[in-house]
Amino acid sequence: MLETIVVDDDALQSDLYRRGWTDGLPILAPTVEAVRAFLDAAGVGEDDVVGGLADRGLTMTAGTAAANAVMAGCEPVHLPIVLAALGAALDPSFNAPVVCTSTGGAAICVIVSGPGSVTAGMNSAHNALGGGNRANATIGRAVRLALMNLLGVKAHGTDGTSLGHPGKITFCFAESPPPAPWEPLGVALGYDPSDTVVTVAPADAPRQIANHLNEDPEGILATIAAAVRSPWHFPVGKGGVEVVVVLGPEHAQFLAGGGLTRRHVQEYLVGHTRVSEAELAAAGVLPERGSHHDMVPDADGRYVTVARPEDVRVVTAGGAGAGWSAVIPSWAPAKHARAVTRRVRPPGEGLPPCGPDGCTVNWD
Amino acid sequence: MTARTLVRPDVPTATAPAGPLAVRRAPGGPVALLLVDNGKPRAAGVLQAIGEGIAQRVAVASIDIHSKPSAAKPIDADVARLLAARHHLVVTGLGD
Repeated sequence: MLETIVVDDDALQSDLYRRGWTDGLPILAPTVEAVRAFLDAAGVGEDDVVGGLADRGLTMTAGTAAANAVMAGCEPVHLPIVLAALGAALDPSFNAPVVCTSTGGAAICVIVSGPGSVTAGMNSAHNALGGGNRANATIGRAVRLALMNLLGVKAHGTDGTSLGHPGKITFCFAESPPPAPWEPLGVALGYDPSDTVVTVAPADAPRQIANHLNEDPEGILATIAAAVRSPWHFPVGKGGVEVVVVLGPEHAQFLAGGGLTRRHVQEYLVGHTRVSEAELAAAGVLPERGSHHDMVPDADGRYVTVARPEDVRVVTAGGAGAGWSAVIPSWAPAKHARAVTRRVRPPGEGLPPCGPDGCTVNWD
Repeated sequence: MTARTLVRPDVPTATAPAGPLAVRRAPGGPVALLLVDNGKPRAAGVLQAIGEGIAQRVAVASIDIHSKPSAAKPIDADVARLLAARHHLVVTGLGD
């Protein structure tokens, strides 16, 4: 059942802002008619369960998700992607309550891979990580608003973010077709090429990488590794962190054309991003001891950044330029929060039952 | 002015009716004190200082520290029940 309130039209923006339901930007009115139109377009019922947080007794229904999508400015065609993203974000391994409240100020990076990103009108080319595209901007905003409102997280309340970053308003992009013979991210993760999949990743702000002159794959990898290897990054030495690597078209072409695979990129970053004691000292970082954030060196005295190849998600996006890429690390060790991927259900298929590819809800 | 009916974007939670506060009682004897360390840096030191301060004001039979496995995960419900059964006073809620 849709829970409703009555608001004076003239006070719409101020009323919803005062209730803490917005991100500070104006919203569209989540009228009953608009929400029902979204649900009809996605072929889901208002009480269908998207996911939940068992220990808080919270359940996200499709109706609540649609209300947030309307407020964010989505079009009805975007709702299936929003639902899949929210299902992923409510997977226990994503740990949404901590992602949304930590002092570290993580954003929720939404990455869409597959043909549905084109149908939705998403941008994967120039300015993919920036503004200028309604689908990118509103899908990412809808996911953020929906989690914020489900959890009751307020900017001046239980969201303990010290600084935050602009990606906490919206952070969403589509994957561009990777250069041959690379497969799209969704296929690399085991999905069918006809599937559209959405990955949500806890995210620091993107670090843009410039390497305009070096066409050698090893040189490009070294540049990416240098951007990932940051002694001042909170997760260093704490068991490993997850990282999204966004390869611009030039870097992707040089890597794939040079015979490297995604796996090569992933393994290179595991092997070339550990931090030395000297680098920590030069950055003024004191190794943490006596807490659950302990920094523990490997046998050779270096501190891990990326522990496993699978913790690196390599995705292609961006338009032609001089040679730009970006890395988007999680703000915290992977033991605290992990990226999660879900298949987008086409309209009429309905939401999945709980399971490994659905809304994992642990009601214990 | 025009009134509009909007769908709530949040999940309304029922608020339990306010009831009387529990009776404040002086401890019947030395208490078992539990300090829950959330795992943040220097949390244990802060908690121990608080525990010592409490021990100067209340007769304390024992001070235990329970460390959560991760600052990013809630304490397990079964563990919480067990700890509550074994202690009279609990200090928790430490942030950064």
